[in-house]
Amino acid sequence: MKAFFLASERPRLLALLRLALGLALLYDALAHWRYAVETYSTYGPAMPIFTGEIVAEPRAEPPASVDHRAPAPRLRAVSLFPVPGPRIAVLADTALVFAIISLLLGWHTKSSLAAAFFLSLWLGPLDLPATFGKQSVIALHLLLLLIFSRCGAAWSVDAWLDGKKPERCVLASVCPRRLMQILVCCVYFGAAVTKLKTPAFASGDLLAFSLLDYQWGSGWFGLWLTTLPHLPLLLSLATLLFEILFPFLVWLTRLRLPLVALAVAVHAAMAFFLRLGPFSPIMIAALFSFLEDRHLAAISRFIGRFGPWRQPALAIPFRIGSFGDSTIRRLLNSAGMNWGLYAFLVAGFVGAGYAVQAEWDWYGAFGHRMVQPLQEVSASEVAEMFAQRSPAFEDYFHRIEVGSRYGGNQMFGSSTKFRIGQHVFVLAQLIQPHPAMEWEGVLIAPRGEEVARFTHRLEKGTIYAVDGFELAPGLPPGPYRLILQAEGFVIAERRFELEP
Amino acid sequence: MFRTLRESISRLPFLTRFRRRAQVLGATVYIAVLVASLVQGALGDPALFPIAYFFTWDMFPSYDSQSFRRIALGKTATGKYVRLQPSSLQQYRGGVHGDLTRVDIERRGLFYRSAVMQSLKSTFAIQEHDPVARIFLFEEYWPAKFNYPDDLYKHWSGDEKPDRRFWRLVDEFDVAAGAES
Repeated sequence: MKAFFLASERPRLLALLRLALGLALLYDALAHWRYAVETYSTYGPAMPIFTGEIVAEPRAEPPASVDHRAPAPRLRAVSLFPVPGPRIAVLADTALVFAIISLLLGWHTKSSLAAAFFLSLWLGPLDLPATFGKQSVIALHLLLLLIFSRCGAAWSVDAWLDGKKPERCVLASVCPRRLMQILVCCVYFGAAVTKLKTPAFASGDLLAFSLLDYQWGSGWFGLWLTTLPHLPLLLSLATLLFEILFPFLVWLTRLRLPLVALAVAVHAAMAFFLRLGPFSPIMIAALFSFLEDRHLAAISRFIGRFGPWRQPALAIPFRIGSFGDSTIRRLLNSAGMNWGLYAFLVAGFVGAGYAVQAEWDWYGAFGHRMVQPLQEVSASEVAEMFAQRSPAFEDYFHRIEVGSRYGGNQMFGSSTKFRIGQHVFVLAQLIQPHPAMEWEGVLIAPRGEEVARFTHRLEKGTIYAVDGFELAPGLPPGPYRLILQAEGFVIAERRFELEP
Repeated sequence: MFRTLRESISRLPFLTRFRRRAQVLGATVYIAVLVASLVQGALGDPALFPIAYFFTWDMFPSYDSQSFRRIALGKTATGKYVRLQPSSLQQYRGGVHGDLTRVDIERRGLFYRSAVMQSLKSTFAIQEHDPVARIFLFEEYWPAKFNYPDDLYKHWSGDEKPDRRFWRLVDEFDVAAGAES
């Protein structure tokens, strides 16, 4: 156990993790910087993740319609740190961008990591909708662990400035990397436990509706996948299996690299199919903690074989020792110069960022631009909104499937050909919320006469309903129609051929 | 001839030994917190919120089978209706088609009212001639199946995709009452 946690290793792996995490965070920070006033300041207003209810005032009775949504409660922010005004928000967000850039460069690495950690911890939770999520929490854990590592001892400006480096072998404690590995295992295992506790995931519905989601859903290809029978269920079960097995099997040396490669592929697929922001890049960065030095060497040999360069790029330590006596390095290593230049660049970068935001003043928060006047809404649009028309009954049905067998929420067998003695099952999936309704199926024989009927009262909250008929001997073979109705309204019709 | 690990450690300088012990202690505490949070998450105990949020890995806990957008109207003193949400303060856009504001993205609608009040506040000066007196918070919603593109919808359901959207009034209040909150 001591060797597991307290061994020493070359710092290249931690440096690789620092670079990967830094790139993911930089992309995210740059994407949000333009919106700092809106997302992190009182002017936006900020929408903090941690809130408490403050007012329980009496409200009018809500309308009886099932489609009504109760008003949200009044909230107060529950935050360790105050919500800043627009000026402070812009300054802090720009400082965060600088901290991430400097941790990527590995310049004053520990200080940059600490600055990035505290600024992310302050600003991130102020914006629940667009910034903060579980990916931010994982990134915070990684930043914290990197602060206690020597990730700046390789592939960094700090390593370059360390004049004595060529004369000794730089080693780092493996402990932060081990903790990252345990963190990743906990993330997968915790996610698996959540999914096990969520029946909708085990049925495939959660995945299907996530891909269909207007907010983080998929493009055409991902949506097409949801139309394939059984696929959302199979993908959900595969995800669950992976998340349960990974935390245990990844410790077996022979399985480690294939499992990490599989995990990277899973996260790449998630990034392709779902709009989850920086979640996938951050998880892929965290997965790098499972690599060993030999993997790095093997990967660099592999890349080197195909790359245009002669020496494998990853195998080359950041060795600019040949410039050991260079004037720049001596100058920077002189007392206070390194810190002085760093402070100067921080001030310049943050000042420039503030100046850009103040000059453009996208939100009118700096007094340089007038807020746009409120737009009038046309009378027809207002009338349509106030009419609050309810959906048609067919809109409450997500899918209706016909088959000869069913299990759980899956339908099997042909939907167009049946034989005497088989059952015709109808599976209806409803969206939530929906009103209680009378669900009816009418079987029409080839000559047009009704031969069977089922009725089923679907109460509020019903998600699935399975009903059906037995195709008894004596029914004439030929084309049949199955008319499906809700509250007497025809919502679907299915046709099939009855064979003798 | 060779020292054991224990002997080697005992000969290390005090500061190095202290750092090692601190490292062991820190790692133990960190792992203990991770494991305890895992158990707490598995049991579903919401105690220690919000700190527990930083140690709970409950990704994808639920889904919506409806999609929606939020549009708020303000009725002015002269009876005109003006749009308060989305406003020029809501410039961030997310979602599949890049048309959702932060108010739309936060699904529970917790900040709908405060965002609308902020929009109203920022336009107070230019709206002074005809101030907004009453606010209506609407949601435009539709079944998630309508998010299929037309061709996929037909392939999946066998029918043409209808062009239907629905509205519900979530809340309404006088500006004076909203300002108090």
